[in-house]
Amino acid sequence: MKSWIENTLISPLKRRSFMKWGSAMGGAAAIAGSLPLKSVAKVNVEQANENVTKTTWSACLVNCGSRCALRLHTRDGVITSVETDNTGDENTFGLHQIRACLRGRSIKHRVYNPDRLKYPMKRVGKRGEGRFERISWDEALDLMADQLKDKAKRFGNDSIFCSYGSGTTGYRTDGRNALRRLLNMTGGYLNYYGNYSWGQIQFALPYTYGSKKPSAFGSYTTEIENSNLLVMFGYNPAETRMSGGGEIYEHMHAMKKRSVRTIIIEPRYTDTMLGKEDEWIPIRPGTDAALVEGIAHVLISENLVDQAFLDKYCQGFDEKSLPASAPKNGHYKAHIMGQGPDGVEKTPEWAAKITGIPVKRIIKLAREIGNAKPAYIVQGTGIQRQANGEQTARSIVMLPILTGNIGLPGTHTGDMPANYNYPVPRLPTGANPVKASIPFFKWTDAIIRADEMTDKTDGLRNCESLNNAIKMIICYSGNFVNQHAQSNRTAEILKDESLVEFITVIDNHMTPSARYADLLLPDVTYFENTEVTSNGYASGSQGVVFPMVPAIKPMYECRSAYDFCSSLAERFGIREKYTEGRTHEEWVEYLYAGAMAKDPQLPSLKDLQKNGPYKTIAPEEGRIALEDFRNDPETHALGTPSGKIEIYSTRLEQIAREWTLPEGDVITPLPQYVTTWESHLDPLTEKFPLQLIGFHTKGRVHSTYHNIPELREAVIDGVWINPRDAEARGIKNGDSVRIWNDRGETRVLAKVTPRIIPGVMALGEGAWYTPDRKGVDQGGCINTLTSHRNTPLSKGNPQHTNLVEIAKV
Amino acid sequence: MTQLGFYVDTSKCTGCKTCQLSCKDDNQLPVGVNWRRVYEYGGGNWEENNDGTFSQDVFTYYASISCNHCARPACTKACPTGAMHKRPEDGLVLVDESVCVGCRYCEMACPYGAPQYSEEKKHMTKCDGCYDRLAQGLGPICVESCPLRALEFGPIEELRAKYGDRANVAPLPDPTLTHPSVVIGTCRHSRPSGDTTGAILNPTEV
Amino acid sequence: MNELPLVIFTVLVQGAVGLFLCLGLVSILFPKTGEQAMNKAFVATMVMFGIGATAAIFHLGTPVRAFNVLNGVSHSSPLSLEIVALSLFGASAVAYTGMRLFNLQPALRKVLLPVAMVLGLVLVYAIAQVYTLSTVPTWDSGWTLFQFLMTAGVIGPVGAMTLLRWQSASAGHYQKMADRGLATFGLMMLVVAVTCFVGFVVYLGGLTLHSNPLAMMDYHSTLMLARVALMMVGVICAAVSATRGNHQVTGVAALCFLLVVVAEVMGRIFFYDIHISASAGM
Repeated sequence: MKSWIENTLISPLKRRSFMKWGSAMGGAAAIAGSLPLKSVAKVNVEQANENVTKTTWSACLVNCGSRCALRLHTRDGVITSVETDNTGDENTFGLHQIRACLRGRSIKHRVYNPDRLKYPMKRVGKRGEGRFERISWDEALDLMADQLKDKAKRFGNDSIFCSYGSGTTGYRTDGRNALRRLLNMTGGYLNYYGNYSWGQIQFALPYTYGSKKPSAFGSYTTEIENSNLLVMFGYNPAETRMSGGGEIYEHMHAMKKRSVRTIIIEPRYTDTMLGKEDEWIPIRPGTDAALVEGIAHVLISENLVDQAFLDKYCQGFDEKSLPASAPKNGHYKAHIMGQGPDGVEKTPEWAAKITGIPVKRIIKLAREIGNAKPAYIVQGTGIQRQANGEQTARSIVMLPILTGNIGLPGTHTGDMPANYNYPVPRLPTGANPVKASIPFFKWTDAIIRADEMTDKTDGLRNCESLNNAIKMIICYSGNFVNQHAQSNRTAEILKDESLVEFITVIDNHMTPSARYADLLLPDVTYFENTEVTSNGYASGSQGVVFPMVPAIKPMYECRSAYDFCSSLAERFGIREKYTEGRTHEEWVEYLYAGAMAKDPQLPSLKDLQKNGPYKTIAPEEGRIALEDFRNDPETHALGTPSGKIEIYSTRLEQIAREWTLPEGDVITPLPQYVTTWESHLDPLTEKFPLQLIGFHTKGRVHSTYHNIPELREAVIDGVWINPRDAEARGIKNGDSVRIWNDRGETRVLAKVTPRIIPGVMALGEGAWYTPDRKGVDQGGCINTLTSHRNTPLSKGNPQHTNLVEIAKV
Repeated sequence: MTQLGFYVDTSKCTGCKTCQLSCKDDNQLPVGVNWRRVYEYGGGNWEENNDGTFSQDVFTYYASISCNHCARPACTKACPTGAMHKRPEDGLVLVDESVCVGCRYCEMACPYGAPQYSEEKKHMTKCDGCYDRLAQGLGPICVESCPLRALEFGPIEELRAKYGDRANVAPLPDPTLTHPSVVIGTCRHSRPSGDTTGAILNPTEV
Repeated sequence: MNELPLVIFTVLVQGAVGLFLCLGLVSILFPKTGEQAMNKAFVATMVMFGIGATAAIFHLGTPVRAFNVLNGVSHSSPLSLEIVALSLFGASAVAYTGMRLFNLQPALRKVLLPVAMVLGLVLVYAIAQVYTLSTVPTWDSGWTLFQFLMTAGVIGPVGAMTLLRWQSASAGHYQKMADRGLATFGLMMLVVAVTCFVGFVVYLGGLTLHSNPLAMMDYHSTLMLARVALMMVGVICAAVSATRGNHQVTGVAALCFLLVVVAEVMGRIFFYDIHISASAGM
């Protein structure tokens, strides 16, 4: 094999290849030239009348999990630059600054962006064409109210769907909350449950540990400093939890405080590693459960399991703790040692072939895990976004269970880590009169095959079937064509005006999904709004209250959700009921006063707005997951049927019996490796030989921030491909490539890098879907290639299970 | 003169590029001009074993570099106009934007890529150590933005006393060429200047 | 592509120096060569020099401040010194040409010519100094000066042959002798340029750098082959046609001149592309 260096360097991409003779790729400058920056947005003239320099506190409200403080500097009512938190004490952990990442620091370009929606618009061309005409707010709200009434009358409120959208995450008194408050007062809408982030893990782990909340069982990452071994399965806080105050900060702090031996299992050599880890174990996507079983084999064979713990706290490890309902040899030990129904012994050799990890390495890892006391074993949530994601999530938690690394200092349950949260009050949204709920990932099915969907086949909740197909979609700050799997299919379904009759999109920017709207409503950015918000869900042990003071006046004709929902309420004759006589600012003050009554430490709203974030730290007690259960399993029995950790899940045994699954899908009471469709072992690899996974790129948050040229320059969108795979296809670093499978084709640049395992490619999710006339996506949107087929148990999104082929354009 | 300089801890840096973007925001830099750049340096090879498993020796680390305000700058020596100069009081290397003709000779001479030509301004621009912020008692915008606290700024002798004086770390050149006022905190993967086992993996991003 | 003006500047100015040197030698060795023809040839040389010098202005982002480039003389900026050398050669060569044209001060002219010729060589040296940078190992050697001298050495004789043949009617008998002399000189230069280029490539290959300059060579292989081919065809055709004598082959000579200039432009593009700094490509 030619060394990859040669391969990459012979390419013309020497940065200052001065003449760029004959080279089509001109580096950043050429890319910048193709960016959608039509013109720099002009700021309203009337805003430029203040003639003063101001600094106001705000925060970045996007769905990265973190939340960071921003200080916006304005001159004459125009944002000039952005700084971040400068409060607290850098030398005292917990009072440290919550520093924003590159996305937050480029926020000014999101506010002054040529894609900004300026006034209400209604569709004039065919749906999806993107042709609109300007209308007044009165016309827009009349239209919206008429459509809501029409759908409720003709079909019922359960034909109205409030779609998933996380582009603005963190509003407490506005945005989605304001919209839902209104819809709950006007008859309700079809619910969904779950989310694209934790679609499998949040429903899988409760079968083992017995609760509903995904982070209910996590230990804080502060426990890392008390452990002797840190094993991370796909946990990548450097790229997914980027705030300089939350998980990655805390992670680094713990690792610097005490150098804990760290092993990371990932297909990519991520930015969490970079030598901070002691060892990277590259693994094929979707095979983590096989690795766990190979490890379990060593642990059992070499007597490294904590038998006393398994006997006392767990159900179904061996014959002794197997419930009566289970078949003979239905226990975990039998499954691993080859006496289970499949008769396959899960030896390290067996696991090596599946995972791509050498046998020796598996045995060594097993011994390390078996001997380290305590060990902190954690998983990220990318690995559960697979066709066998529920199995993987439940399998990984077997390692702390088998070794008894649970409920003690320095341990964790194997779940994602816990985060503290300050309970900043929300605008009361009321209850939805419609009870029926669909899995978040099945909304396109609820448009085209609602009549076939049942609780036992499609995971419907609170109903056995649906009364109606979805006939109206209201999307607040979401990018449903872009971020739902199989974009071409989603687009085709939405284009059919006989299916969904009316689509309203409320957003800041003309996103790929906004093009499918019948009615477009321009939202203010949160820098044009007042709010008090809390830390996100990745703040580590910090709990924070963030003030948000409008830095600039609402631009163009933009209105906040609370504002236009109040006007919409008037059209239903419920304005008073909706507002309770309060303006939005008055709601913020009212709710904050309630929070102050509960927490006497909270500063006054004025002080908060002047001095910046209020920081608290999680109490020492409760930082170790399941500590109470470990100390007293009787009093603190888990929410599982047995009250114990269910390695063998009685509820899954029942579900496996009752549910109808498509060919090839399985639900098993034990956590186990399942070979799925479009895995590396699927015969389809003959046609599409490479696995493609997505990842969270640093250059945007999901699809938010994609339209910022400064970010596109800093983090070039390229598909990661190993030099071996690239060389076999004549692809060089920086080449334009096409990636395709039976679901679509996308175009992007190649990043030929040794930082990914051979046979696998990775593409940052969230790039904007830009189909050309032939339907080929020119935008590098990974969902052109992903499948809408759901996972067996949670009916979730397997968006990292894809087989594809790649070639130079 | 107290020479000022940067400390860059590659064992903390995660390559997030917040420094690059905060600098860009504060100094109103357009696309194509980056006073601070984050270089992804890495290499390594993959081998397929007989049983279909893989072995590898991959390494990567990031180096965030702006201007190193060198003790013997190649840019000032090259500059035909004297626009590129070293400030006597603190050794910051600045470009007098009212004098520079935009010949880009400093760009050719500087081995760190610090002088950046502005298509808008038609002359060179570069990291000025945020001297305006320093005058207000603040730190450079990049240092104060770093989420992982991997950057520091101050009298270079103090930084050297605290962190040693390594600057011969790839992808940086041999420091004896220009005597840069920078200290690199190394990580497990650090390779010396002149290393040929790795390469800059993100040439189009810097 | 922002180095294109520099490519034109260096190739034309070095070529003009080569031309001036050749014409100067002809003027000294064959003083009876037609006065009119020589005058026009010198003027043409100055035009070429002027175009080259003007091209340099286009490399400046802010040309209105062009005079600032002399500030750097105080700290010996190689670029400032290059401009000084350019001015000195330009002034002396233009003065000499003007004096020839208007037939002034014949005695002074005799002194001025060798002075201008030496200043021409100084200029080529000064240009080479600009690029001989310790921070750019691929340029930091005598090979930079060598390449620039060869540009003068190849373009000079072929250009001089072309100009003299153009004027062969008035150049008279000595034109033939000058032509053959120039052809011999041109062939020698060609041999040196091509054979030593191999040495340059070996030198590049021997450098320990993060990226192999020979990879650029590989990338530019078509360009480089074409360059050598054009240069050889240009010089050899010019030389062969010189043996056939006088003005019938003016067109061939002009074509040859064009070929060598294009060849040198190609070589210079390669030169700028192998700018590999002492860092790993920062």
